Amino acid sequence: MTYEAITEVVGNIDLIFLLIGAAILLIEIVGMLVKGTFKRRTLFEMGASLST
Amino acid sequence: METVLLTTGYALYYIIAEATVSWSIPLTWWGLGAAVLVADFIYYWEHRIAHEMRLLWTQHAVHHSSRDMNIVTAVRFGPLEGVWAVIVHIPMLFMGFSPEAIIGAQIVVLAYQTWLHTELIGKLGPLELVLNTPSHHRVHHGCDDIYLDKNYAGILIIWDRMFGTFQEEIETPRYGLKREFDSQNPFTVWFSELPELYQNLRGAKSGYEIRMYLFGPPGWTPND
Repeated sequence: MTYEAITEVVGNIDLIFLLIGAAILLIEIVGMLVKGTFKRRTLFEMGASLST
Repeated sequence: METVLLTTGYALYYIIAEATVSWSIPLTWWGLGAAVLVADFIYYWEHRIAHEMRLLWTQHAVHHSSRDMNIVTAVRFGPLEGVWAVIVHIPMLFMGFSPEAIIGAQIVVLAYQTWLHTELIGKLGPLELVLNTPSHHRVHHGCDDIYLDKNYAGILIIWDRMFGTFQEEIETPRYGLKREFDSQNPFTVWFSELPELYQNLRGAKSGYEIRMYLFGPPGWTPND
């Protein structure tokens, strides 16, 4: 297995979990919007997490 | 920041491997699989020690400081948390794993954990026996007494079952730090543990107390 092959395999695994995470996040946000629980605090908490 | 640390880590691993390691595990599918397994085992201890040593907890507490549990929590890290991760994987070099395999395995172990940070997914049947799942990881983020310092696993929950730190999710946890902390200010989030550590170190009366404040468990006091 070459260095390039490892990079590709690991990159694909990373991408798969990123896409799964993005899908879950989308459903979470839609769910919160529907239930009316997506508040300013939630948004700021997400902002604090992303800032790190 | 994580990219910088991983790049630095790769360079460090490469230098160490070139200078000291004369044999290597081949870069094959099974070699990469073995690297992920070993990296997952190391991650368990890396994570557990980050909870049990105050100096490391100042960084890892950032990840636990959110009162929410959603996917975005997965990317919440202390600014220097990755330094510990780079150091703790160095023994893999002496086992013969190449720097590429070690970095790749670390990325796989971390990437797997992204989907664990959600309340959207319930229990997953027999998978709960072997794999770390959202249910197991919600327990890890809980600050209720029953959930504290449990479920340190990355990919395989078997490490927690083996080393006595496993806890089943019984009721929905209360998330966040044990102490009252509910700030959304990034600077406060990054450095929330440092002021108290600084005060403790200033008040320390001996070298022993300094060592315990830095390397002892979070919450240690001279009366313990």
